[in-house]
Amino acid sequence: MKLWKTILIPTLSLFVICLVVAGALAGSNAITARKIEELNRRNTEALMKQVLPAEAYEEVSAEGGTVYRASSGGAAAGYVIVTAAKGYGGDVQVMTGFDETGAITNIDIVACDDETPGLGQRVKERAFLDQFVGKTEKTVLKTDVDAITGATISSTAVNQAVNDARSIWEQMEGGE
Amino acid sequence: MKMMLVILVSAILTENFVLSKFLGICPFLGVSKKLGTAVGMSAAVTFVMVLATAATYPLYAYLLAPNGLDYLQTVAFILVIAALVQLVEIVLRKFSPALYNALGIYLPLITTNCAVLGVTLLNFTKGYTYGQSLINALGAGLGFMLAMVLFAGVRERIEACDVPEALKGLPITLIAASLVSLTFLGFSGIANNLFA
Amino acid sequence: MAKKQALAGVFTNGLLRENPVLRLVLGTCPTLAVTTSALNGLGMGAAATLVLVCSNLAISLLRRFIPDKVRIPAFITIIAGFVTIVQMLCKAFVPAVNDSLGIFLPLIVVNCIILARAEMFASKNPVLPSVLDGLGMGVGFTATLLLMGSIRELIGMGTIFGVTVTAGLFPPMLIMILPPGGFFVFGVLVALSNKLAVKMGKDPVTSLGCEGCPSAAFCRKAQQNECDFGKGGNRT
Repeated sequence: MKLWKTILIPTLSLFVICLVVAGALAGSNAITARKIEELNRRNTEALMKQVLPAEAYEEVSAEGGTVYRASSGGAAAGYVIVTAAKGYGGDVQVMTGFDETGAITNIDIVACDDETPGLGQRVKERAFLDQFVGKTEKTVLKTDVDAITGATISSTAVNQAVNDARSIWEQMEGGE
Repeated sequence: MKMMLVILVSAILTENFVLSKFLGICPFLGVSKKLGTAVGMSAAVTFVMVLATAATYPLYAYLLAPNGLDYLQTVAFILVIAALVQLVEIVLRKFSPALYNALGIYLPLITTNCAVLGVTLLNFTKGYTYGQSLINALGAGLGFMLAMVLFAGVRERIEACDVPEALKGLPITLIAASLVSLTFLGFSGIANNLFA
Repeated sequence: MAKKQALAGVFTNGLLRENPVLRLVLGTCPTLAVTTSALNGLGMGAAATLVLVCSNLAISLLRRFIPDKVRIPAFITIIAGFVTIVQMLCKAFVPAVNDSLGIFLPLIVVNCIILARAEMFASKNPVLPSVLDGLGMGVGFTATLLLMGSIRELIGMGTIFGVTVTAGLFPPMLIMILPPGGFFVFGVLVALSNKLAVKMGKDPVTSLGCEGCPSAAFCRKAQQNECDFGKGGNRT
């Protein structure tokens, strides 16, 4: 009887609470998951359209980043490559678009939430990102592109990510 | 190997949990009055951090994520940490009373220490492997210890100072913490270049 | 009438007299970490308030059924459940808030304010006062975070909610939105609130209080009254 009171009831009630919580979470996950996925897909697509306008994007397997092969009307239109490099607070994710000749069509920041607001996060500014447009070779920071004052580490991360994307692009082109 | 060193050093210096990520502020401000308690508390935190990472990483990577249960992450992790802390306390009390007296008394405080849950969650947002996660947890704990020990030294000095009435106690402690964290800003970028 | 006043008292308690951040010194981690802008402070405050109200409600409802022995794990499980739901809602409806709060959103689980209110208030009081207590504490938390975020954003970037307000008055002092600025602004705010409290005949807050720590019940140091937390604990 004592055992029942001191061990079984607490264990059981804790178990029931865990079960109810897990059930509630499964329920709300079922409701929100599709919406979150949809939102992510739409965001990625909008970003891809901005980086390299095309009709369709198809994910292809590659090492070191996420690669999408872009096509318009059945004809290949280039690649969109998402890479990440270590910035000041964490990873800086960059999306780079390459046309068929290997020139950068445009780049954008996917995520840099761990960078310092007002400092590292300034890599999102177009004035900085637009410097990469049209480049056909790997770039060196401070010679080919200007870093953002006071945010050298975050700027380096963006440059590194773009160069990594170029390496992947070269592999993709070389492999075909 | 280089990667491991980079993770370890950045977890200790550039991404110091207390001074640049603001995790584990309560013990940082509360238990740093004396050097001895500061060391004891941070040793216990380091121990639990590594242990918690060792337990939660496989749980998430092999049980929750493959079954589409990743939304249970927070609930599962906090329960594992709570259970782990209890278990460690029981084991320590039974087998090593000396160690228990040195570290065990801080254990109950650790369940709700955001630094421990923080490190287990960060391992996944950073995409670390199992080995890297363990190193990261060790580094985070050591960084916590470094901050606590440094700050305990600063506070022992403040105790002897004549502080303006309104700043006495917590306010001056926070302003001193501000200065200590300022010095840690100087480490930014060091880890990547140190082993380049 | 008297009952209504008592309920109103429960609500306003968290706003000023027992402001969780400035008077009880709870939840310092998010207070320092996410207040780099006014918007972040507001987002964190709103998320925490939502969790606080829900968990206070649930725990107050279940207070007779949860065995005393396992109450802390039970509270933590319930709180973690609500935190995850809020996290899902954030991801689905305000992804920008989710991105900028990052890991601090799931870390609401270990925000001492929530567990402390569950242990100290909701587990001992009926539903209505518990909800009001959660709401009051949450609004007090949000207001303080908003204040801190505004100050740091104003001095650090010259903007509030992203709108430039100081144009050319002074160059933004970036250090304010970096970690040292967080400690500094918080220190100054506590000093001001202490000054105000003394003027109103209350005791200043000089250290973190044991009564705020949800683990106090298990803490041998606290029981022996020898931990650093409670020293100078002039709050009764």
